[in-house]
Amino acid sequence: MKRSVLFAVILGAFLLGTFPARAAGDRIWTALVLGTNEKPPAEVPEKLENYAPALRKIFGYNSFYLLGQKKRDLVKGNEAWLMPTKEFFLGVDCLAREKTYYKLRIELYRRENLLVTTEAKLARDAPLYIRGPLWGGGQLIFLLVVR
Amino acid sequence: MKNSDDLQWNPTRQLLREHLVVSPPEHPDFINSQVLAAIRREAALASVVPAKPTWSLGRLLWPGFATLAAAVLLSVFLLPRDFAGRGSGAFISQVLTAQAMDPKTSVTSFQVPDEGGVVLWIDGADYIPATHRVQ
Repeated sequence: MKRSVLFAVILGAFLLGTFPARAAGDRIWTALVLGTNEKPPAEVPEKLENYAPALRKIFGYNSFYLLGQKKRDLVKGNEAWLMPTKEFFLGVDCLAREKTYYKLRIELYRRENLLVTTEAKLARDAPLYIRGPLWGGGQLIFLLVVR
Repeated sequence: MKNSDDLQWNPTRQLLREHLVVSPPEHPDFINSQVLAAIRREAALASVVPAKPTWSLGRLLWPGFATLAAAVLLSVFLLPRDFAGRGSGAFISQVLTAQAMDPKTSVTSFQVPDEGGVVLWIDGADYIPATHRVQ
């Protein structure tokens, strides 16, 4: 009898410890990146290492700088404001949560001006790259990743 | 009605009763004590309840149910998320709709080759001079 109770307690603790962690959901990470061409190419910031090959291939730049970043929880029905910098910010509205992706409405603002609005399905670790305006000698790129 | 064999055996039985003498035991008290001791041993053995085996079916029942319940719960909660079969499109991000608010700008989208990412390409956005802080 004691063994059964002990087993039940251990099982309960395991299940309680497991499910809230899984139910906590994912997070969305956004970053404002500056892409430039330099000789020699600048070292890629650690947080952009995974995305640097795709950034080079898509935008044609060899150096990337992380100007700002922000991370928020993704909860269905909630709107999150992601402000990687004071100049630009993103409104992210989680419309639906499926097993493999989130359906999001994303609005890109420059200060109070809405530049672009989009609805997108974002799978985990499959980034959304937004080519922003040119800034100085480089290109502003927004990066959104569900993790 | 008596059998003929019984009639023939009756005289023999009568003779045996008259002449057959049962000799008394030499130590009747000892024999009695041995018989009584044997009766007590058998009575004691009969009164002992056989012990249950440590892992009887009843004891295994609840852990069995608990293990089964755990397996079902883990299958229900874990399998659809991590191990269920997914199509190749499940890992790909997609732009469903995109609209530029400024009439001077346009927006297009395309998939990133060889990875699940997607690009939203804005054309015609105002140039920002390097002297202007964007951070």
